[in-house]
Amino acid sequence: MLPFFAIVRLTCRSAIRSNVFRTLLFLLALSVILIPNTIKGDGTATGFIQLILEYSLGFSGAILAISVAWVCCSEIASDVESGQIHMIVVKPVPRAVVLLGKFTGVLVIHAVLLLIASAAVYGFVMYQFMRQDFPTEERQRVESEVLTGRRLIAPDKPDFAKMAEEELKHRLETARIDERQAIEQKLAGDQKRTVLAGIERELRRRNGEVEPGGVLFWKYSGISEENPDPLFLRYKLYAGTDTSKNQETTYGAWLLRFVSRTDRGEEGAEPEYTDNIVSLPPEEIMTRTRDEFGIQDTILRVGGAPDELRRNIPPELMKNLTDQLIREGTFVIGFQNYDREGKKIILQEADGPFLMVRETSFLNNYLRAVFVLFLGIAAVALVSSALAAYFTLPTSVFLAASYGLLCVFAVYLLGSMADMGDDLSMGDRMAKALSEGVFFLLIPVRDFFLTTELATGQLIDFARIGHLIFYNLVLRGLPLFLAGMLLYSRRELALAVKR
Amino acid sequence: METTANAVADDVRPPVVSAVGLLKIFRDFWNRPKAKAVNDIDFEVREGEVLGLLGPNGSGKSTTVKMLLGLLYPTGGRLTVFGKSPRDVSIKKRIGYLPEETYLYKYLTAFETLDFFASLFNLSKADRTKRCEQLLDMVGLAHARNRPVGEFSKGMARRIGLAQAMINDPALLILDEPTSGLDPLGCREVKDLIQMLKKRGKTVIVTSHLLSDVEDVCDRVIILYGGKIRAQGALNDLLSIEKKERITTPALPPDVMKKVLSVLRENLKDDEFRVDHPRMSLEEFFLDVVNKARVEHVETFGARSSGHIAEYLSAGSEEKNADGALLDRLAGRVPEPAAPEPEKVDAAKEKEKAEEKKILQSLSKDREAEESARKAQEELQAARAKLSDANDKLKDLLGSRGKKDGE
Repeated sequence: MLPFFAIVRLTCRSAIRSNVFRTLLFLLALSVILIPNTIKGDGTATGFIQLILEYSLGFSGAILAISVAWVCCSEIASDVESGQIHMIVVKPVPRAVVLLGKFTGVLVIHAVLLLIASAAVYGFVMYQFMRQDFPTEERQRVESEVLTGRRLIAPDKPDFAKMAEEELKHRLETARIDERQAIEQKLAGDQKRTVLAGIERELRRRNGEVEPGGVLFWKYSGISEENPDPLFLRYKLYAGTDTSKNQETTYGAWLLRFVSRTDRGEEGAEPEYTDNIVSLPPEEIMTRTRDEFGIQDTILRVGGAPDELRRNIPPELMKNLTDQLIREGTFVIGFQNYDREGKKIILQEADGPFLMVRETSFLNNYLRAVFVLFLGIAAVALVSSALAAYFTLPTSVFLAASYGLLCVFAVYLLGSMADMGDDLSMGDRMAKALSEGVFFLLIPVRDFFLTTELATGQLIDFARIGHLIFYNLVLRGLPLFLAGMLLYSRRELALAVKR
Repeated sequence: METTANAVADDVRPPVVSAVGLLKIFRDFWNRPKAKAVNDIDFEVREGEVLGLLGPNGSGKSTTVKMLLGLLYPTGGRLTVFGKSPRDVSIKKRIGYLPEETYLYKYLTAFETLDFFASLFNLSKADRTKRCEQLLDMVGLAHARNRPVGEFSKGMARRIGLAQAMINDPALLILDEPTSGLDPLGCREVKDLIQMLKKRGKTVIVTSHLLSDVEDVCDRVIILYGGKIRAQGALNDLLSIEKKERITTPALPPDVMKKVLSVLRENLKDDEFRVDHPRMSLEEFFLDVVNKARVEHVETFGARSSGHIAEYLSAGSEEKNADGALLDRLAGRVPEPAAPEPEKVDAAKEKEKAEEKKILQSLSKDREAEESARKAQEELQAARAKLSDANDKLKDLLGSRGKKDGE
């Protein structure tokens, strides 16, 4: 291990002497010091704290990701080009250890920098929160919506595949003869999967649409009624169409349904369960904006909701609600569309609405976000090291930058590919398959920047961290790095010396 | 060359390096052959041998060395170092390498540089510190131990390069242009060091453009040209001119000289002989001047060798005590305060003695191998016999001429 640590130490010392690294370090200091001190926000305490968190930590992470790519390429490739590596590989140290030592050295120095930067940002956020004279209400809002770690609970999803099957059956039964023949022709032509996928997409879209005057319900399982912390509901709405880029206002009311339990007082007697529905007052809602509100914890407790929150529910709606059997602890949220222009309101699957339950402290959540940022930096380091292990410095930097750009845009490109539908020509299908193949190799670096989640008090749960580690680092980054290591071990290093 | 090849083949010492049909072809981007840098060469380097690899630029010396170190891979043939592939990591524990360019990390100090390279050999902290201190002392950079090597002159960097090559007390030392960038003092020290390593049974491969350096230290040379071996063998075999004689005497009185000349003129044509004063080499003169300056303690910020060979390098040398005086001289230790300016005759004597010592050294080097030792002994006896014959002839000639003059 001594040679490994010697190389790690040497790499750290070498890295901090790189001019590019020093420039990036300067930018890092700026992002940690300047951004929090110049940000004004939207005038609210929540906005101010959220911006500091999102921008300072986000910029620090981005700078460190760029820096790690550069330093990896520089430390590994330039050592080979200058011939300095000759002095090391002629010693009894396997080349794999040399590469691993250099990778670790670069990663260690960036981990230290990330730790310092994130500690500074955290300190600054807490200092500002303590020091500034925010109104009590604002302060409470920051504490409950930002400086916390809340688990996001998505609504139970219907079995869309089964629903699609039933819908197809229904269509076949109700279609005119000519239409039925057309559908049957398609099904006979081995296109059943395509037809079902199309129906499923349509059902998914329809699942989030609220017709004017109509109500839509979402069911959430597994919420403990003993949960002492307040619940929050987070949502984002679209009016008319979800492709519109304009923000506008719409109207609607949220309905909350829950079961309350009353003990009868007699020993051995079953408690009495009551179905409760609460409608919040209709309100003006900004479309295309993520918003959230707190649901008073009292409504979850035995005894039901406060009377003042109860509203008259239309009889037909009441029937729908009572049709649903709700087991204890299950929560149902409804939304009623009161749009004044008679537009339908759309809630996309990705926008929930989500219930949020406090699970951990802000510091804990902050540390998780920083750790995920570190994982992102490690992913960039893995890819850059693999490239620098074989290519020259300019080539590896170019390839690392291209890879990074592709990763950034991969999310959008994959999204647009999903919109292409399934009815594609042969050429389009081939292009799609190729694109999916390429994108499978890419690590979506953006996924490691969870600053928005952190700034909105959303818990970064271990399942997500595990997913990031397994799918991005283990399945994508590690094989690339091992391939780089193999090439590095086998290449004729003396051929790469630049005179 | 044939006899040398046979001599090598008969050598019982195990080969440290063995190359058979070694071939290296450099290819272009499209994998088309671009240059045949090494073209089907065979050679062996035996344990304890100092081999010189010579050749003009582009002859394949560095390519061969890089293949020995696993930095380049042979296109064809078989190459082994310590019986294994040069790419085998385990053999590298026994190899020391000084590259043509000293690639050092400029921000590390001299001590940190050596400590880093020592760490790569998994040496303990105490061992690393001890070796680094001794090596710095040996290469004359103890006073600059805490200076970053980026501030060093080329020669000083070269010395650090040499020190790092010996940090593991290697059994095989490969020196690519070891004296490049060194002052004559440094060159001498490097040569002395090679001699000392040779005495300890180490194998050394030296490539150099400076033929005098190779001549001074190598037992055997391989001359490459166009990637092929054009000549190889022991230096004595290759360089002796059998058809010529050289006689060195103290300065002769004019009348004696006249006699000698007349004898020579009687037997030879004018253009077949030459009489002149032997000269000190510039190196000898330079070293003499510098040694005097050292004795006078003149201040310098450059390399100041203590002349001490690192203890761990000299430890275990069986001949250390027996040859202590010789080692001291080889290690470039400060000589006794200089005697009055040596006369040219004294210098000639010194040179003669040095020649004799060389022969003796080559004899002692090969004493383990009986065949070569016997051969060398025969050579020495033959040389002495020739010298004695020549002396007798000269005496006769001088005697008869003296009589004539008297008459």
